[in-house]
Amino acid sequence: MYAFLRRWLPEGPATMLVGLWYALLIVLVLWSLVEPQAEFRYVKL
Amino acid sequence: MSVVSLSLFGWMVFAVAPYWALPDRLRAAWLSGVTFAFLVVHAPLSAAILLGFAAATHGFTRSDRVSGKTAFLLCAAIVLVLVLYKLRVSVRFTDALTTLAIPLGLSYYALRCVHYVIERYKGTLAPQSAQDIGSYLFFLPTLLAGPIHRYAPFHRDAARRRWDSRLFGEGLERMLYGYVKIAFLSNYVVSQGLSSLVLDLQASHPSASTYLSVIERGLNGYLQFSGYSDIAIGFGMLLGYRVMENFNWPFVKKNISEFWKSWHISLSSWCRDYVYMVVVALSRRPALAALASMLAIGLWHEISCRYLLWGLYNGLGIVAWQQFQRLKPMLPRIESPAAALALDAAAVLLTFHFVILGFVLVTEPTLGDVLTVYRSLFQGWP
Amino acid sequence: MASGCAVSEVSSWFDDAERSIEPAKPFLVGPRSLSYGELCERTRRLGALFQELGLQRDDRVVVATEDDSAAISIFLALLRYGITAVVLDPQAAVPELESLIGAADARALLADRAVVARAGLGSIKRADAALIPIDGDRAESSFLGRLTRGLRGSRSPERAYPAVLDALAPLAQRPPDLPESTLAYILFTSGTTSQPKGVEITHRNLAAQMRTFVRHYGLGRDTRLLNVLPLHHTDGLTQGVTLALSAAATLHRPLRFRVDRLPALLDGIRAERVTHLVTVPSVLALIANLGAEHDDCFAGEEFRFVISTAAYLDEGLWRRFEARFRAPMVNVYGLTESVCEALYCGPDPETRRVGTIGKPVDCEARIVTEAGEDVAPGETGELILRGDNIMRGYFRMPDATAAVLKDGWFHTGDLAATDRDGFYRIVGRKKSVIITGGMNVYPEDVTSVLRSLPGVLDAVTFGMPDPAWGERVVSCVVPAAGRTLSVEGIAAQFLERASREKLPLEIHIVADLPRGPAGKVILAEARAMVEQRRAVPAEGGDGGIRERVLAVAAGTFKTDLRSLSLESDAGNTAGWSSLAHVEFLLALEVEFELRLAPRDLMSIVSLGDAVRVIEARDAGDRSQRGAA
Repeated sequence: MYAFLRRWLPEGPATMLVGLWYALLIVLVLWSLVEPQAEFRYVKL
Repeated sequence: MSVVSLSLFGWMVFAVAPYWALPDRLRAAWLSGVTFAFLVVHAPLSAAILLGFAAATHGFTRSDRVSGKTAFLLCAAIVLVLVLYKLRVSVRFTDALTTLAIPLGLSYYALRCVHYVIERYKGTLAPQSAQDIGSYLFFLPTLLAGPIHRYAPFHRDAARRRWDSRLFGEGLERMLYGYVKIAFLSNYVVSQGLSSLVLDLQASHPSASTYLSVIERGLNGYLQFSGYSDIAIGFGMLLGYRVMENFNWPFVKKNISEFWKSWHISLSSWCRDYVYMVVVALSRRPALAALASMLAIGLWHEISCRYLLWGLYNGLGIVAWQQFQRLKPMLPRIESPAAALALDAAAVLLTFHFVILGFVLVTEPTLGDVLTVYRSLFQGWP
Repeated sequence: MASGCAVSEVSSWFDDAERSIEPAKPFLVGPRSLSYGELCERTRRLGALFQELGLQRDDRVVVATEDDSAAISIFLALLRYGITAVVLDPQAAVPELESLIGAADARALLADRAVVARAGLGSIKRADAALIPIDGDRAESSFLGRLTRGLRGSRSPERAYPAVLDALAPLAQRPPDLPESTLAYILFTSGTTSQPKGVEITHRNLAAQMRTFVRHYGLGRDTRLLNVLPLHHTDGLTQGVTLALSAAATLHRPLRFRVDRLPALLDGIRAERVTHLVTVPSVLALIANLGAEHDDCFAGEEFRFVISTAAYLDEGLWRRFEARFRAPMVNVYGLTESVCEALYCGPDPETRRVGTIGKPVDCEARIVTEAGEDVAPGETGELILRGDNIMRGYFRMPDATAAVLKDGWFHTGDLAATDRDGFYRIVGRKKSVIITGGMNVYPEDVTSVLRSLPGVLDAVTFGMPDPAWGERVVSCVVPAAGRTLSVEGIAAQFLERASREKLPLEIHIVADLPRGPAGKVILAEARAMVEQRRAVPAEGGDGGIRERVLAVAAGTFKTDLRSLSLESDAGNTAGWSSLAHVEFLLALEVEFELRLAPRDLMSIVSLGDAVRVIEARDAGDRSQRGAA
């Protein structure tokens, strides 16, 4: 992701954007884990 | 065992942190040890089976040239164990998709052992040490749900291993994407959001509702399984390995053959090398071989009528595509770029629908339910 | 350093190693590694051993061992105490060892037990010389080996390395400064039957070369040098061992080079964070032939450049290599007589021009006529060199020395020319030496070994161009009347008398040799004869298996023949689907009129596999026909 952004952006903004992006994803994951989940399984583990 | 669980996450941290603190020559042993401990704690039966497989795989392939008989008997024994457990599963359970009863990881490590034995038979691999085989089979990242990675690249990564912060970062990012796919996109957005839409529409537009529910299964299947693979591949990177990819945008392929080259790649390539090629080598009939490998892919999931049907369905799809390839030169060539683009889009849509209609075969409890779904899809439109 | 004080700079490398380098820092990484601390300690213990043996400055000591760690420890200790090292090839044939040990006239010999037994060193050494067998440090690495050696060691009265060191206390005192005229080592450049020529390198020569290396290559403490070239050659010894020490760097010698170990060697570049690879063009050609999985072997961010030494580097290979691996190549030119190198092409842009040997660094170079006059730019003449890195002379051979060292100028015997911008290019050779895979082979040596074999009437040897080896050694052999010779038989007998690197890659058994009026073999005609024999396929016109396989593949995959190679497989070839794969296999069976076994069918993954399988089948059929 960082390498992708660095093609257009200087180091600082790219780092910040990547940080925000990861933070957003982590929040989404944690939030959906707190919410009651409808679990779907493709394979049996 | 859930892939998105605090327990598994704890095992990951436990595996990774001391791994890099240890001297390089001890790392493989540490990782095999942690993997073995993990299995003993969570699935002692599986630990015993894998230990037996590893011992047999190493013990019977030590000579410079492995005879066809040895290779056949060894593979047959491994597959037999797998088949017996698969049979037990399908007899006992109505909905095998959400139930676990097969020894943890058996479906994957059995195929790894067969891969190793056949490569030894072909002579592409020299005999490997017990420690090297152990570190290949007792590899925590791919233990639960694949990919069914191969020995040679794995071994090469071990030889090239070093602390690499870029790879480590890439691994963390990859794992995060896996968690997003499973927990957020699949379990939340698709399973909650899309399925409530399906429910809402059920009364007013039953066919649209059924259609959406069919799409939902396809999406979920992809998001879940590619999410597992992301986590496995990312976890592998944390340990300095680049494990083979398992998915490559399967839903935007232009034909069924391409789809199977980009869906569960490690299984389909395994079947290509060890089912398709074996059948070809013995029979010299590619159509038969294609059918056999699609059946193997189907039955690998579960030994049951519906997976047999699903395998046949996809196998026939591939055979039809192969036959079409022969006809293709006789068809008129398309010159206009716009028409070619439209044709490509149609091909992608056709392939996508062929695949998700296939999923219906294995996601409905009975054949009667399958027919109900198909009837609703094709008849219920206003 | 003031030139007047004339104190060897070599001591300062050891002083630095003892004083300012962390003892745990690795010096040698290999099957048996050495840290700087261990090296220093071992050096001092060896100093005690030398003292006990009564060795003086400029005495000569022969070292011949397969064990890198032992060879390197002993060589460096000799260097530190001002004793002259003579490093020999432990695999050399017995007559060669006899001749070289005789010429070295050494006061002591340290050699592998195997070498001692094989060559009967006890009887060929000088009567008063000490002989210490080397047990090989390898045994020490296993616990069991250490245990059993400990038990044996306490009883055995014989003194062997490294056990002999246990009884000795490391010398406490720093050795006194050495004059820079001290002889560091002697390396023999030719062997077997002709008079062996030993190149004498002084501490001054060696130090000058190391200063140039360190500065020009930009080496330092974080340098990790991968160099597995043999230690009895200057490229392994000075551009490896002494270079690592003088730069306070780490030397990687993970394995003894063999073609099948090349992938492992390359994997180590990434794992060990190697910064520089020193190797010869024939190895670079092998690397360039490896599969795509090795594309990133030089991609580590710490890797600086590849150093190609000891032989002519083909310009095409150079460009292909740099383009594929994105690793800069530094091509260097030098001889044992110039310590190691003299001209450098890269890494700096001032000396770099692809296809040349660049420019002289820290020494002078001229191109002269037979009469010793400088040629005009662009014209060809002999390359001559002058500088601190030029040898003192050939050991005990004043005439041979005078023939090449004139007014301080060393005559290389290589023909060179400069281009407009002053870049040097080697265009030929005055002397007859063949440089094959970085090794110097004298055709006269090979010929005289061949002539000494039973059943051989006459022989001639010359070099011919070879894409992988630079040059290959080619010999024509004439059998004595009434005798029949086989190439295999000649090769087997040859190896009893000379080392493998001298064994011709091609041996042609011919009825007669083309000779001129004076009875001298006309080499040009002999070469033409070999070319002609090569053009005729060996048997029944089945030399074209490769071409036929490629043609079948091009037909089946509907792709351009030129885009296919032996490395082509499903991953890099358009149209190679699993269906087309089967069609290809079936088409092969039709083309070659055979039926492949399941094992063979399954093992064909690339076109190279197909060629290999069909060739093996072909050979099997032929031997069956022969038996019937």
